[in-house]
Amino acid sequence: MKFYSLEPEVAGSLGHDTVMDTSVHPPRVHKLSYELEGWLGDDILESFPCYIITEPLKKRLETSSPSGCGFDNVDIVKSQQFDMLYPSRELPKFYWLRIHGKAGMDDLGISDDNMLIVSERILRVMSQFHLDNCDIEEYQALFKIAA
Amino acid sequence: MKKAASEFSKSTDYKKTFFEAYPELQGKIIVHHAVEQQVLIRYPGIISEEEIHSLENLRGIPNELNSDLHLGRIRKEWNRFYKTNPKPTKEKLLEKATEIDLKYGKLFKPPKG
Repeated sequence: MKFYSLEPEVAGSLGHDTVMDTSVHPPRVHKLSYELEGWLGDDILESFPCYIITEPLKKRLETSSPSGCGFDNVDIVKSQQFDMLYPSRELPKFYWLRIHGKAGMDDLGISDDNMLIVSERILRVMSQFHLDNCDIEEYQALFKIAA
Repeated sequence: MKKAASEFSKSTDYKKTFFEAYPELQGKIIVHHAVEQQVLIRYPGIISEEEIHSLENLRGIPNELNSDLHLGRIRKEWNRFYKTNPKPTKEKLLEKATEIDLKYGKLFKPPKG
């Protein structure tokens, strides 16, 4: 099966209420707050090491039972700048897409260089949503052959 | 290569700091931090709040460029930096800000880099 490396839109940053352990890399996030500073409209957003998705995408993914991920709550905070840029913009509900899969094996995984790797099957699902600002490349895993 | 300088500012009201220096740009630009504010959360203790909000760390991005430039390209550049730099020094953060100034700074108001 083919896999793809995704670099989603970065619409903001980790909010002040995020609780995480920065003594490890990638940081271990226990509670996620995502501060939107602008939003170009994609259904999957990133702020390393976290990904959030809109409710419609979450519902669609759930019907595909992807391996390597789970869903959790996220607090969405609009920055002053966001309110200034989009004074009347309604936001959908977002969910935290928690990824624990192995890149190139599970439907969703994180590579050694901290990129989001998804299977072709899941990319097909995601492609039905807005991914206009998400960079997508085919993922080439480097396997070490034991001597 | 000239590095993005970081000086102390007593004020954390960064927009006031910027528009006091460049009043003619009021309403025409979005004030953006060269070294992003979130480094205070990601890398606690490396850079102070005063340094983050100092005039030297502030950039004016024309309103008409904001979606494309600020939200799209610059934020992605920083996100890539966070992925590959678990424990950067202040110097390394300033180098990244300078790299971005060199790429996009001609479009800023006032221009940088």
